Amino acid sequence: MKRAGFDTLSLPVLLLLPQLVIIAVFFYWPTIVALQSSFYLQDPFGFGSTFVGLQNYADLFSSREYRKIAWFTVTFSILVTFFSLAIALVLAVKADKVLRGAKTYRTLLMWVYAVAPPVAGFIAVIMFNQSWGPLTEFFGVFGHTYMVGVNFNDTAFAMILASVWKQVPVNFIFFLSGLQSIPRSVREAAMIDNRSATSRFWDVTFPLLAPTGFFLLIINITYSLFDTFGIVDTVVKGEPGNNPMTLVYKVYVDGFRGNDLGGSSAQSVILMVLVLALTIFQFRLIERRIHYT
Amino acid sequence: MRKVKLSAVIDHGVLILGSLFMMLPLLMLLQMTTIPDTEIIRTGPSLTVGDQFDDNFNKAMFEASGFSGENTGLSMLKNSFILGIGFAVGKIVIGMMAAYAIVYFRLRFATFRLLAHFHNASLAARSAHPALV
Repeated sequence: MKRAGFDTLSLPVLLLLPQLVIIAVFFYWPTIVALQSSFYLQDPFGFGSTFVGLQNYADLFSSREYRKIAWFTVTFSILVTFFSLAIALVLAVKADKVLRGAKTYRTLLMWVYAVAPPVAGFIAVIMFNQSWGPLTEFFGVFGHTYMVGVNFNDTAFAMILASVWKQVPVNFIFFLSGLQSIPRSVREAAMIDNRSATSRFWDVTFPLLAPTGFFLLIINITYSLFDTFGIVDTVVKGEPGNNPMTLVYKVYVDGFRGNDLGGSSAQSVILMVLVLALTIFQFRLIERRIHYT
Repeated sequence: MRKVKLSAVIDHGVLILGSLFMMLPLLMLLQMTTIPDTEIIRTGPSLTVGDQFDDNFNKAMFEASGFSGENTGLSMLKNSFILGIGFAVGKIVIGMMAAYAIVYFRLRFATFRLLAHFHNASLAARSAHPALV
């Protein structure tokens, strides 16, 4: 860390001010408003609100539906994070290794990076169309009548597939650049010491990739929790019913479709605390084992 | 020699499978832009290339829709482009200024730089999805 000897105060404050103002207006202010309104019960037609204390939180913790959605979110996030990281890592290692056609593979694998989450959800809806979806027909071959929007597990699988598909290129790009920044000399030295490509990967390449992997882990968890909103929205077609949804989508459904602003605020406060705890946990526990060069 | 060849085959096989996984849905979407709406509703995507590409493209780009009746695909594209460039440039400039101040000056609260970093990340997520703010 550089420590130059400028002792003037006005310049750094001036440089920090825009960022601080944005943080205050777009983060602290909404947080305070959300915290405040989570203690109130709002009139659905906007004619004022009543202080109810912790009732909104109590309702949520005793709600079976909320617990179900929370569990689904946990499962969904773990699956999406794991599969998008694993698939991208395998593809990046192979794309880094081959000589012939390497550029073509890279271009094809990065292409989907330009697809927006709602479009990914839309593609999933087409793929799983009830009457002619290619993947519906594929599952039909195995005797399974695939029904997105009706069957809970079918809908969940479509969401997970679309989310993984959307996220693989991002991870692929980062893993590939991480692999390419590993010095040639290190790899050659490892190649002399160890003949097995598999153990060479786990002993040399993987630890050197760990900083990239850790960064991607955090990015992917945030993605699967928050940025999959568009995919969830298009797949459940705005008709949540009995369909799987994530906690963020539940915040939207309760707050803007159900007009229960208090309950929705309580949910977003819970979500914020959860994500904050998760991030602190990751930095404390995992980052310690990672050595940045 | 034989072993090397087998591993190369596996490498290319994995990459081809991965490319198909990524590209097939997009190719399907591309095929669907070349056939008329009624056919999509009736039979969905197929392997034949239709002749409706220019019609569908014109409809998506230049046909007005929405409440005001002035909302064409082109104008929405223009709006998205302005917002995208604005977010990108604004975020980089503001973030760079703040990072510069934290790294090059002795600040009393500089230990909070990690927190500032998190806020930046959450800001990025929020600006990408204004609906969630």
